[in-house]
Amino acid sequence: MSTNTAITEPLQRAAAELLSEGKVAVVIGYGMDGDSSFSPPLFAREPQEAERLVFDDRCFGNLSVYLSKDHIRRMGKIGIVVKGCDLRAVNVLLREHVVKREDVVLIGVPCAGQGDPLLGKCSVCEQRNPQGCDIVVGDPVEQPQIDAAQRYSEAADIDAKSIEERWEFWSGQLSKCIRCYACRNVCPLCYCKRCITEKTVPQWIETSAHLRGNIAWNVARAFHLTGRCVNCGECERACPMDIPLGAINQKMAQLMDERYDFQSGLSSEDKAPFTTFNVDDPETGIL
Amino acid sequence: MIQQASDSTDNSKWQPRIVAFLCNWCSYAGADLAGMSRFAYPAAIKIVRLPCSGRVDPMFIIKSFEQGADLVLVSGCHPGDCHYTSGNYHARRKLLAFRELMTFLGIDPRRFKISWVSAAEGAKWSSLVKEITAEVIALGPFENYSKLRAGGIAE
Amino acid sequence: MIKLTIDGQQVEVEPGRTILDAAKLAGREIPTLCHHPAVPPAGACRICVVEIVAGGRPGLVPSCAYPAQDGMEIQTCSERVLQSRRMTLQLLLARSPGSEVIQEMAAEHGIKEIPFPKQTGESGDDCIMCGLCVRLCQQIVGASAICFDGRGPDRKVSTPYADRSDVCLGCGACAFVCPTGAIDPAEYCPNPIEKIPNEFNCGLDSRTPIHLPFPQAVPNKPLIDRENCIRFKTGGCGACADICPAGAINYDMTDEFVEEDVGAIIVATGYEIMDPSVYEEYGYGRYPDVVTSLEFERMVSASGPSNGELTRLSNGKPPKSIVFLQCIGSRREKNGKPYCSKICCMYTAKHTILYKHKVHDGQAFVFFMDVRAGGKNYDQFVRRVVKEKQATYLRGRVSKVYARGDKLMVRGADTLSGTQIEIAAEMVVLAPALVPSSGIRDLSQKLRVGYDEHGFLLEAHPKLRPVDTNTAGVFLAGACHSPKDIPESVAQAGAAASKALGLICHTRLSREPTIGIVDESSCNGCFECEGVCAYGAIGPRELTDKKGNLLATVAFINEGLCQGCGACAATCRSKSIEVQGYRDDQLFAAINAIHR
Repeated sequence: MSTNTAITEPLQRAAAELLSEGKVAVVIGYGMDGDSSFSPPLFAREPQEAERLVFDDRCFGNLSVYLSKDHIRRMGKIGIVVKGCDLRAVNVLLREHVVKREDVVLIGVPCAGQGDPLLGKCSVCEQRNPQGCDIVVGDPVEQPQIDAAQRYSEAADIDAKSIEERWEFWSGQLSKCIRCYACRNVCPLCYCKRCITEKTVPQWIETSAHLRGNIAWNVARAFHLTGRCVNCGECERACPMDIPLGAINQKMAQLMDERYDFQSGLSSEDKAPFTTFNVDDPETGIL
Repeated sequence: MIQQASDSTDNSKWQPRIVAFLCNWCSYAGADLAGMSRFAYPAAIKIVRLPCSGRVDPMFIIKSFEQGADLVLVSGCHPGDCHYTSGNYHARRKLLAFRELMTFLGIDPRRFKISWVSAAEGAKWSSLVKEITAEVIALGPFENYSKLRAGGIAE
Repeated sequence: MIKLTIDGQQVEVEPGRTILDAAKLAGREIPTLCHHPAVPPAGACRICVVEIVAGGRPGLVPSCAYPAQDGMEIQTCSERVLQSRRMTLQLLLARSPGSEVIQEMAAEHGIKEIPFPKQTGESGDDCIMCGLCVRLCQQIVGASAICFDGRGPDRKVSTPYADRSDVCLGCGACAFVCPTGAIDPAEYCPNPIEKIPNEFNCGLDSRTPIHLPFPQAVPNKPLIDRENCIRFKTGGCGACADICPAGAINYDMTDEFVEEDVGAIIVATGYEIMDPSVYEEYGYGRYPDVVTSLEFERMVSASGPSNGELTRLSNGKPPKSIVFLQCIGSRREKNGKPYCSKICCMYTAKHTILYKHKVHDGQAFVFFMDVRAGGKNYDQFVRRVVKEKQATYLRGRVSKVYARGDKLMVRGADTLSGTQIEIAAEMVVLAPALVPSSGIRDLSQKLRVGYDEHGFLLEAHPKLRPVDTNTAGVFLAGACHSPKDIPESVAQAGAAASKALGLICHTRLSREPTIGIVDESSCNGCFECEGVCAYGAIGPRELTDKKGNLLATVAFINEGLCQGCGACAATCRSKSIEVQGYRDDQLFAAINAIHR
């Protein structure tokens, strides 16, 4: 663990200033917790609480998940610490009217990657320096060039298997699912007031933890995130059963990128691929 | 009796079951025309009428497989001919993506068909159903999903 | 107004008018050559001279250029006038002895001999040097492509430096106004002079840029073809506006989009015939005497290109034998249309009658597959053709049409007698398959009406709703739906009009209840549904508490606009939109029921 003082200090100053000037009611950032394997979220509501904010290489969480939570929004205007990858989720939330731009102050932090060794998503990160934030603390970091093959390498590994092998693999993986919905709860884009799995009339998705219902749940989850998921990887990190959920999301992201030249969350102005169409979209495989 | 047949592992008694989601204005009318024109087609296909192929939610397809479908077909108007202007264009994006998702998860994509059949294409409907019925008979029962049912889940 | 007397008759004309205009009003005819109402006068040919007897400076003046004055007394055929005219004609005849126009005019004036030597060769052509063409090209067309060149005996109409120049538009106006037909624009124009084909007459004759689209057009008013009109090409001309007594011509008028709010639409876009040149064996396009039935219809029409005179396009003589070929492209599975075009049997029977009316001693043959005369009195009509008009009906198809001498040899099978047959015909008329109007697919996609593989529009139900379409408020009439003859089209049109009136005569519109509804308690307000709605039926609705505080912004469906397609329902992740009649629980039950 190494605290990034070049960012932590200006971050604390900026947060304290926002809070003391009353520009925000709360700053959501990462806090210090010596024993934990990660830096947990911190909600600073008083200027002096800003001293506890930190930025290091354990800031795994995507804090934008809190933007859709009613009890946090009720506090008032929110200042939020965002890495480049988190900002993509914020862009989707803005596009989907979950949060209004004027109701948040985005405090961008340049990030050269989290974890030691680096998380998989960080090694192919293309948004190390967040763009379009209200405040950016610290100096920009170097941005390596990433190509499409690197971007979707995790999905490619599974794609390389035969159909039988894939079924073998996924039926094994998905059998493990205990339907705890941690993947949903940690996902910044799974903000539905009533999740489809909680709708009982009709009950499309069987709720007990068996493979048939697990497939239905995971298909629904993947499909609902297609064209929206920003591959922050939180679902996979949160999964207590270590199901490689990120690969499914990556596969769908790859599809949207290849077919419709679309990457989610790069802007809050774009249209999700499932809400628009081109007359000459690809048609192969239709009888 | 059909229930027994499909539950049975004895393939000689097995009859394929195809669930088809048809848009009201083109494919359903096309199937209707096939009937009116006395074009025969296999009875393995069971039709659910929808206003538009754009109404199809992937949950419909998953649920059909769960319930024992050996093949699911979604059929709508040809591109440009949607009664609702653009429902089939939206369906095209979603359903093709859904098929990719199936493929990625190892669920045989040959079990899910998409077609465009217009209200004038009674003959196409008839030959399409014959074709996919022959294909699903060749594929046999959809064991991946029927095994899931057999796998200790109370009905 | 100006009052003057012409040949003893009082006339009133507006100031600025010429003596010629006044004479026309008085009903006096004055011969002219270099005069054209659209071109400013020059008084060049002197054929129109008249004598001022009183009320002006007495003497001979050219009436086309001389302004009428108050109190004038004019003689149009005094001895002095006639003498002058005869002299002018004698001189013109000497210059252009071959001109029929001059010869006729001279003959009318009793000229038999002329005292001058007749010009021949280069120096003596039909051009009378009146300069009308030059004035027209400069002052009206605005091109100035032609001019006078040379002096004295060498003077002639030419182009500057005798070059073919792109300045010449190839409009042919010079040839149109030339009184003696002496000018040939092909000599000046670097590009081929193309006449504008008359679309209504299947291109069998030509038309002017300003034209009536067809006889009995509604409104029966001319239109300007901007691509060919000189006004739009050069900004010149404007002759039609100058001549139009009503001042009705306005070059500033442009095509415009007219938007109307309507409650019902009746599609009656009709049909076209397919191009029979795809069947090389019939020789259409290769032999001028192989024509389509539509061309034949125009050829025998009194308002057609030949004023109803039926002649062969190859040599202008009436065809003594004619062969009608039915089912060209119709009822043809391969390389054609599998359907019956329905109207050809009856119009061919009519054509054989028309043919016999035009060529009394001619013989008509008809190759047919079946005579489908299923209509009131239709069969009797066909029998009458065979009996009274001695038309020879041959059941069979034609394999080849080829030329031998000036005849067309038609080789076919007579399946009833089981023999090969070859007919030497002078004209062959093809009855091509009917196809829907081009552009029908674009229209049907705009109206969201289905069409079949041939492009014919689809009715809502072939038996029970043959006039309706599946789009509420859109009805069909005529051949846009399927090939139809006139009585059927009229009947369907009447039905469509009644249906449309039945729809719009009510003050309230009743509609299908199968539309979307939003569950406001679970709607996230992401408005992805708005993105997929093709009708703009979805908008925001603010939910507030009793004090007016905003609780949430959710989707709201306008039930007048929603058509119930369900794209929104499929897009909604939280399942907060249902389409009534196709609700999730209903579909769920349907899926389960299949597997019971």
